[in-house]
Amino acid sequence: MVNVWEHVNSREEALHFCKVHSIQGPVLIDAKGDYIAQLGLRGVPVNLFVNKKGIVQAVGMTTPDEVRSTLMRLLNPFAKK
Amino acid sequence: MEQSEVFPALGAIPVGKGPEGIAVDGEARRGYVACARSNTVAVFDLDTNSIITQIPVGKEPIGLVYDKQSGRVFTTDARQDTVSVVDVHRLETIKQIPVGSYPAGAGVYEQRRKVYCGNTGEGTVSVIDADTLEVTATVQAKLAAGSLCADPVRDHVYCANFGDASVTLIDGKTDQPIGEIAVDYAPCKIVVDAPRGRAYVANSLVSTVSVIDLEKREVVDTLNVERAPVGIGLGPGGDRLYAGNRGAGKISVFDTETRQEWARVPVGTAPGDLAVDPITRTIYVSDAGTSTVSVFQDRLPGKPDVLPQETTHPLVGKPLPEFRLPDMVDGRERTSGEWRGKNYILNFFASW
Repeated sequence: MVNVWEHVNSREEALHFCKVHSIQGPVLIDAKGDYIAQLGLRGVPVNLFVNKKGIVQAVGMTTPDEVRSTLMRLLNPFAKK
Repeated sequence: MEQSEVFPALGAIPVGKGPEGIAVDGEARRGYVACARSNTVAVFDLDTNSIITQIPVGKEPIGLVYDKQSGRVFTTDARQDTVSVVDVHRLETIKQIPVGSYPAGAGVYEQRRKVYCGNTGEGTVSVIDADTLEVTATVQAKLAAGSLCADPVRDHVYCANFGDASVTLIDGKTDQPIGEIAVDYAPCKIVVDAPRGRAYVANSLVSTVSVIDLEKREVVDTLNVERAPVGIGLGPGGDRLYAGNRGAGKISVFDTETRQEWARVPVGTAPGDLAVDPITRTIYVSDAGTSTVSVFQDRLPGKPDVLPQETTHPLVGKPLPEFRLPDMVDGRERTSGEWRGKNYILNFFASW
């Protein structure tokens, strides 16, 4: 996960948010939003699905249903691509 | 017609950091926005689209409502458990009213001279007398009560409960809770079209807008939007609905008659709450990513020839550009190379 656009005390805000929502796993900080701007993304939350070769497979998909169906589509070898 | 002609961008007004709740007074040509990370209310001019001043309020103002009759703006100061009252003529904060825990949403019922704040931390609603500025009642709502809106026709007030997927009905006169209406997950803003008997609720985490029939007291339609709607507003007479998709950086424009999405207007970054100037049909959007208010006008004459299409982001099929970013915990640099050879989801988020 990458935290962006906190404007003030990015690290403290991100730590607090992750504690409140019991978020585990690596969290990085793009404080000024330079990286997200490089990707041409203009909002949060947003998900990028990246494959083993580092290729972006899908962009967007943040609701639980969307995440589930996107993973099924991308990871299920029997599904039609 | 090109989208830039139909929805011309009229500028971006630099305000304080982290703009959230916003309101405009079309007749006075003034707008007000709560700047959550600067702890101010920014006052801006609707004709010149420029900032007039910033007024200090409490810590982390999120919700904001404007009471035209008294000439006051009320902010819910989430990290201070107060509602700040700003006199818009004197341009100063005149009172801070202690309310419940983590107030994050507000509403105003001008005819009954009441201002409401949703105490998200405790699931209650504080009722404030708009003239005496005293808390007159505390209403039990549901988990993470937030945004509120009044319905003078039915003498009700509705409170969106972010953590309960519901809206609480409150009696406008007695302040008693009457019941709940089930909506989608994570309702974070409610607006009411009282003459037509409709309410619209933006459900941020599931990217929908619930349409409530206020006579039947139930959801009669669910509109899909692109991603993470957190702000919502109505055009003059309730003819159009504008939804701020924080996750997509776009405003959805719906025709409320057919409930069809007519356009998606790109604005700034991470747009949130919005307010509509009914005189010029100009939309003022809190742009939390860049700490500005984005301004655009709706000149769409009617149903467009081409309706919004699902688009594929240009990054799809391309290599993810390399990143080098510090870890939240210890600040050490981490790069995309670390995840090479794995399938993974890169999620971008902000705490607001």
